[in-house]
Amino acid sequence: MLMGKEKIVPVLAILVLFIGIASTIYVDAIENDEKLPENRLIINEHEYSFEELSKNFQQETTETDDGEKTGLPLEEIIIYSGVNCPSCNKYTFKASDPYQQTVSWDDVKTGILTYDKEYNLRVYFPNLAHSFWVYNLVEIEVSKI
Amino acid sequence: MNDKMKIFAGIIVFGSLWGFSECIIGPNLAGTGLSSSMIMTGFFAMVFLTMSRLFYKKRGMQVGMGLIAGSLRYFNPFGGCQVCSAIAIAAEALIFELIFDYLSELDLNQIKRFTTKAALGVFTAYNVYVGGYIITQILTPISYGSFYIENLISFLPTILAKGLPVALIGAVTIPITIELSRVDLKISDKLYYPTTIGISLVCWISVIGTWAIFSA
Repeated sequence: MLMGKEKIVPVLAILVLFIGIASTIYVDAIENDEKLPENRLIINEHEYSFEELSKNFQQETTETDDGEKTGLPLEEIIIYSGVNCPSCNKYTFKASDPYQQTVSWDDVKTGILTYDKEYNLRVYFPNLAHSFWVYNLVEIEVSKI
Repeated sequence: MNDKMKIFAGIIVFGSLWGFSECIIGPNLAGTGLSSSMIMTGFFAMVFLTMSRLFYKKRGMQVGMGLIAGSLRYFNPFGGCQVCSAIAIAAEALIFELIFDYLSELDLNQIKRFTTKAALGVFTAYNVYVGGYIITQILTPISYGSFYIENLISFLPTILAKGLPVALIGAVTIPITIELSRVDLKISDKLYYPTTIGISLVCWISVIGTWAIFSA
């Protein structure tokens, strides 16, 4: 039994290395696949640039547990993108890597969209954990609850 | 000396050291541009978990360490998500415990071949990191009532890929820790409790003190 386990450990290690390498190749392939130009994102199937959105909406400041953040109000942006019944939908914020988080309309109403060199396009939700603060944002998908 | 008390003190001191590394060293590594979560798991978590397992040879001890380190991380004023990190630490300890429970008949000090020790490092570090990451991605959204399985599935390949560098760090960390644990570092009974309590207090005071300074 002892020898068996000593022999199985290298086999298990090779297996996890294979999974890690295969996943790295896969992730690299999908990341390079379809990249939007920096500073642009798709909201409800329409493409916008941050400059374009900045011209239409006034920046607002919100207090988070990571200090004050200034950006464009997500609530107004979503309505601008043509969503008819905002509370009837859920909103999935997709990053380029492809990390994604889904939130409700109540959370969207508290959120802001920012742009900077470090995080590119990013959303902040003061009432949610930081894992919901998706950065390198490329799409906001709107779907029925 | 009461063995149970000795193990309890061991849980506190190793858990505190792990939590201290996560709270004080981790954020400074992030500032250098290195991936702090990978180094924290691949190096610090592996060192403290393996060392405590080798010194005390007790089941369940690493879960206790995870709870201590996770609680300490919760007081951390720096970094991204305290809740997520605290959950990840506790989950990592649990996964380490499960792996070493499965390998319980394997006496780590008796493993001669470097390749076996390195393989143990690869397997353990990879699973601890990936498992901890996945559990965090499930429990954090659940705690906010917003868990969607499709979000996890879409990010799963990235999590599995991120585990690769951690596995390679573990391939070095665990063999070195096993070798170091062969050095006889016995502390006399008279000094055991003052040392463990002292080290634990330094860790807790540093983290809570930093939190108090930055939240003032």
